[in-house]
Amino acid sequence: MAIVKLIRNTDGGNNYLRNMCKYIDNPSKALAVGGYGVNPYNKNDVYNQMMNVKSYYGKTSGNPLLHVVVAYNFSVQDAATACRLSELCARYFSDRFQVYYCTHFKDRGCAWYHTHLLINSVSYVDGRMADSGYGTLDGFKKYVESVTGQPSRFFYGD
Amino acid sequence: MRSESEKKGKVTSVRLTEEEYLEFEEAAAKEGMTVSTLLRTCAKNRKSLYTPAQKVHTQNIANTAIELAREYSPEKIKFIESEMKKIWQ
Repeated sequence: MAIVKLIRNTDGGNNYLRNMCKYIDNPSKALAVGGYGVNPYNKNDVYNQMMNVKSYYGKTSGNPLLHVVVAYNFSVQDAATACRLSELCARYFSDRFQVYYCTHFKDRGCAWYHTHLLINSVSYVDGRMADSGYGTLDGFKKYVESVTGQPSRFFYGD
Repeated sequence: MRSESEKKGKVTSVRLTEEEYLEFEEAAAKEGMTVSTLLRTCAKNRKSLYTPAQKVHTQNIANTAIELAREYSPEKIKFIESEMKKIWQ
């Protein structure tokens, strides 16, 4: 079973965004980074590019991002597969939002590989805030099921 | 929660012709915005050369170029990144 978790505690505002950009690229865990609408090879660029979109629409305060973690089950046994699935998961949000994502390797008891998705809370298309409601995330969960072939569970976490 | 500095507490009015009014309404609806948001965004970003959507699409092309450059021409990566920085400014 794949697990989809939305981390709701984004206290710290834009510092949380900056810190998460640094965290997910941690060399001790990170296998590969990628991005849509950001330069994934430079975490300072990622932060500045997300802030650029927020600033354009006058929305630099409030919730800075959606932080979603997707953990794949043990059927995903190699980094190449995990990285390909990460890219597909990130693509779900990319038609409206900038996404910075990274695949991590860590034995979590139920999975070896997981992906962090950092999604700008402000849409680059029209400046609307990302919806983190149950309906949207349930839609993402179903999408994860379709691309991974694994039944999935979704929950909110801190 | 949105900061005090981003709260929109001031109201102003704008004189428009009937044609302009309809044009702005249609443009706002097309963009999924209110007329207020459309006018504010346009006025605020009047000096921007590119919209966020244009920057994002260009960045996606640049990312593909960087991936190719890693394999065939790594010395070009810095150039691509510095050119993209100019677009994002």
